[in-house]
Amino acid sequence: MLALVLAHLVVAAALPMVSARSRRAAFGVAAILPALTLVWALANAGPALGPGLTSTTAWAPTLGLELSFRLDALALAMIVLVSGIGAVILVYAMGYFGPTSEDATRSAALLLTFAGVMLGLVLADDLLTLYVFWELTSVTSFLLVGQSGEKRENRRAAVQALLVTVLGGLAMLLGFVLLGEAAGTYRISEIVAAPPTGPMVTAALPLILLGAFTKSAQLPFHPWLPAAMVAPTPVSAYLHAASMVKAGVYLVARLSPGFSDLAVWWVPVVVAGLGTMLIGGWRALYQTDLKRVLAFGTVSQLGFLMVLFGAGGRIAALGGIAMLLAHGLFKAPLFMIVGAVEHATGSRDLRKLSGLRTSMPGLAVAAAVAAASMAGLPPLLGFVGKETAFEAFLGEGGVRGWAIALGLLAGSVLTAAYSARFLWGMFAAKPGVAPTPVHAPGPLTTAPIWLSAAAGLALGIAYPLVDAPAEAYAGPGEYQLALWHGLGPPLLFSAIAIGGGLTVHVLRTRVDRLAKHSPFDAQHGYEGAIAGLERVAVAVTGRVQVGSLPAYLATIIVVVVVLIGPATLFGGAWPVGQPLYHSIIQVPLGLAVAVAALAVVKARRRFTAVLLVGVIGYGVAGLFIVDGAPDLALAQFLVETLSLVAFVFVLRRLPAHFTEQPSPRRTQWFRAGLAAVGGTVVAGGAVVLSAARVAPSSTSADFIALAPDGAGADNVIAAILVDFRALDTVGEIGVLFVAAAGVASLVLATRYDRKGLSASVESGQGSPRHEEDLVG
Amino acid sequence: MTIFDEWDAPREPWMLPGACRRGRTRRLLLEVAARTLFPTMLVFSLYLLLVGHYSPGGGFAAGLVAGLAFVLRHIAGGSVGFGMLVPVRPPVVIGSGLAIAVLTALVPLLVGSPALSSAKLAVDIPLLGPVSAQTSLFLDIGVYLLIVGVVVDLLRSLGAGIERDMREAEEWLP
Repeated sequence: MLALVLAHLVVAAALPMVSARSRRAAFGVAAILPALTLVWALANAGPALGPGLTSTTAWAPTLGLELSFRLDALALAMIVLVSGIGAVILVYAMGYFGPTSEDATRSAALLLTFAGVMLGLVLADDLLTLYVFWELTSVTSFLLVGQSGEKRENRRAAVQALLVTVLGGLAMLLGFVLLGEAAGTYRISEIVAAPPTGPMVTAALPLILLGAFTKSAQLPFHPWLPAAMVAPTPVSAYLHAASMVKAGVYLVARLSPGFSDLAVWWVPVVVAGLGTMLIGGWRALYQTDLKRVLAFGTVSQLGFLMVLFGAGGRIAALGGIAMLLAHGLFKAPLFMIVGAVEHATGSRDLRKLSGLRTSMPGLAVAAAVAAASMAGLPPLLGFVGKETAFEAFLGEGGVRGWAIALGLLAGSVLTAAYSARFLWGMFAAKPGVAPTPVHAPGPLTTAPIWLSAAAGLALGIAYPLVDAPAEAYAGPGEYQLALWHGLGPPLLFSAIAIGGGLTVHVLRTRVDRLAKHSPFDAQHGYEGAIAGLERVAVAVTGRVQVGSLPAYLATIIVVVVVLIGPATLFGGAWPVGQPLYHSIIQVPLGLAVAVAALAVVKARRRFTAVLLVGVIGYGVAGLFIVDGAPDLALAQFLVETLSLVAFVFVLRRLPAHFTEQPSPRRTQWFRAGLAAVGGTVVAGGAVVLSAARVAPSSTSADFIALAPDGAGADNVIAAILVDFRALDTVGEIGVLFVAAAGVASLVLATRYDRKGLSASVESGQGSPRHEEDLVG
Repeated sequence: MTIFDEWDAPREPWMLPGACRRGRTRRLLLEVAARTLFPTMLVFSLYLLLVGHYSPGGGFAAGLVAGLAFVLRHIAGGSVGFGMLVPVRPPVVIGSGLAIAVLTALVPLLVGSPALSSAKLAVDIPLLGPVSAQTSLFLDIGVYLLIVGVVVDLLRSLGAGIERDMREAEEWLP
């Protein structure tokens, strides 16, 4: 299964080559792999509905990390959405993106990448594997919403989606770690089979739910989903309706069998789910952009799915699987229809569209079929799912059962209402609005719409096909998915939902006026939170980064003194018989260093100070030679020379003298005292520490013994650098690499900042013109 | 300014890449010294690189020596870069150094040894006799290239970059 996921990524990486020849072919090639995945999953339906199909690849065995995958009933249902609808939408994208579209190449590769990582997510049987794919879907969603990044609204929506989902993702990772540690395993199937208990689990579950809620746009995190509608329609249909936003629902469905009897699990799920279903449905009623109508509808339906999977109970789970499939199969075609209509008319504003029923009759029928499934009309799959949902909670009875059932009923009324509003808004002939001129969409656009809308109808009639995975997920029992359960309360509820919805639609002018008065706006909450975060960041940076070198140095010295001073004083001992010097040449060298150090303090000119610092460096290098460390001395000499040169280069831009006005006497005394204490502590600490070693180091003995044969080097320093501790060397040159990039960009970037307006994208540091100027 | 300045300014192009500073800022002694020292320092840096396994030296020191050679040439002649026929940008050199080091670290994995392990390569060259080298020399070569690149990059940003700034701000006109 890992190979299947990786194949998606490999083909995605190769897609730009296909796209260079033909944009359409790129989407066509991209659709092949998801289609094959669907075939593979359906061919393995037998074992998947039974014990499940597993495969495991250990990638860091010593850490117990592995990539484990499992195909079971729930994963199968999700693959129908991820790969099945994915393939259909990729075919639709062939028609949607024009042959010259600049976004096509990137979108094709990213959509297939997304299909791959989403497949990994639904197949993952390991919490950490799941987390990795989870975040990868967030990243691909960010890139797909942001598109080329040229439009401000794209960037804002992409950042909002990323921030919200990644916030939840991080919380979820914490929850995963807690849960995995409590259970002693990160294998999801094992955790669900034998759910752990205890305070750690109680802490873990809300964190995991936070991840699920942000990903599936639950209250109060939902605004990112409508905002993400700035993405091209295939992206919205695929990521933000059919698959990615279901990841949170999927996670709840995955863990619910183990935890749905815990109040800490089902209460937040049911409350957030019902709230989301109602708010989303209500908001959908006054949107004028048809895509946003659908987006809020998706938010609402995700809440519905959350309730079904999170509340626990076999029948609710049956309804959950049915609604999961139904939602993908009606929401994807509805989005595609919006895209097709937008292409055909140039608008998706329901106040401007008129008379499309007569000019686009085919699409109108397809939309009616899909919207009927959304509203819950027989014999569509949406009806089957909704019936089962009502049955689950009406059958449960009690306060909880009735409360949930009535909540779902209210949500279903709204669902029926916005379904009607969508159909009316898109296709009806409106009085006072001239019929919108259209040019008919091609078969590449309409065929995928028909295929997925018809699938919703076919699965509704052939409900046993859905019942098989649903029962494999929920467990065997008496109640089964069916079109006709006889007259009873669920049927009555369905009828009320449809009737109520149509009534709300008929009274739409009044509802419009009412719906605009919304008590609170979650989007404002998000913007407030971001603005607050920025204010805090500015305040903290302003306090911590005061921009004064003496303040920074004082902080460092105080920390050194406070940490090292007492430890040296109480923990160490002055070495016995410490000679003042053991080679006469150390005396002049030491004196030179000390005199230079004292003279630096009195230096008035920067250039003098730099030269004196150089003297200190060379003196220390001389001491290294005397003590028999030629490698060290060589490096020290060279580095000292280079830093001297660098200083002199920089000094050309600085005033020749240090600041003219002397600082107040008290400050001077404080600094002198601090410097004296710091110097004494460091020097004293060095002497005391040199006495701490009482025997030759065993490590260096090994190094010396092994160097000639093991590393082929007589020079043990070289052997350590390039062989024994070679990893350190690689890491250090990596640091140098980053530092060089930093210096270059700081120095060269600021000069362009100063030039102000003339700084354009082309004159950046890496541009050829700039290189020419400098390298010649 | 003084007659000494005029007298000291050379008229012949002394620097190898051909680029010279303009008029008054040229110094004969510096240019002649750079002309001789520059190749010598480069050869010496190669010596340090190869001898590192047996005596003081190694990629880091060798890279610094080579870098200082470029610094000297810049101070004397004002040119930045490697002065090659095909212009090579310092970041490319830095990147290839890092790449060589990392590849050296990873190649042992291909033959089934742990990463970063080294082996002795011995060849019999006619006339010279047996020559052997440790594979960790490649790591040193990577370090060498990276350091040279870093120094020349520093020269580009702190040396030529600042010089250009000052010329534009008309603070200093060579």
